[in-house]
Amino acid sequence: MPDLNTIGPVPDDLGVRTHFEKVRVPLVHLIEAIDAAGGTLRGRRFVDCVIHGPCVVIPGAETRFEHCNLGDVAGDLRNLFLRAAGPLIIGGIPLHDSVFEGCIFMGVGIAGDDAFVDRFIETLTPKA
Amino acid sequence: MTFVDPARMPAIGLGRKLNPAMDVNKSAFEGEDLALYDLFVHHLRTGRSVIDGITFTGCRVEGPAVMLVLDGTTFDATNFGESKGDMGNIVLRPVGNMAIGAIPVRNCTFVGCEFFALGFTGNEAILSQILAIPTSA
Repeated sequence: MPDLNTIGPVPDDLGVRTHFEKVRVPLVHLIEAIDAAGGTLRGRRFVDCVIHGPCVVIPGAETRFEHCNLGDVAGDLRNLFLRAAGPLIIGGIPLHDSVFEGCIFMGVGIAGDDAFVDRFIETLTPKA
Repeated sequence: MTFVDPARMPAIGLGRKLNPAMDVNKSAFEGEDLALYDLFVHHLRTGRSVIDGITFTGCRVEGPAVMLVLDGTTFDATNFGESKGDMGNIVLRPVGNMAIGAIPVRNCTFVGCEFFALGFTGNEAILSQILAIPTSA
């Protein structure tokens, strides 16, 4: 988990960088920079980063979160989640084929269909 | 500093050229276009955690973002944006009592606006109203 006192600033090359380590990453700026560079948010690796919202992400099945802190959930981890009312999700940021390792998320919600949300909540819920 | 000739700005659905808002520190926008994220970040930097009491007239409000529609916010003659034929595609239901990551908007008025790449969340009453908007597709 990153030390917030030593975390680096937002990199200048957000749009083309594929590996991020110990830096701040505002996801909305990241997607804007990637769009401007003509790419898609896919195949990125984030290690010990602080991932900033406010935004809602749509993780693909192949995106992984390992040893991450998903942020302050105000006592209920369900507060992180939004259920899609249709087959598509407009307004969210798709995360494809990306890996987050040891990252802290701030103001980032997670959206998906019912099965995805239920599975994610179950994964995060401590077993009795 | 870069200069963009306003005449070369792309046309938007409101029948005019894109007109980016130069000043987000105000309580009424008219014929100006802005990203909801930028407006919210400005509010956060000035100690406000909710976008509250702003009037938007003839504006284009862009995402990517999910708007948390709170009490007192109204929409009149507003285009909610491309829904791909299903208004459910722009609606997200909170699982808990909060909607982390969504941008809270309270007591705001949208008149003759258009939204782009915005999703919406809130209580079931407001979401039902959005879901009932007819789609053209």
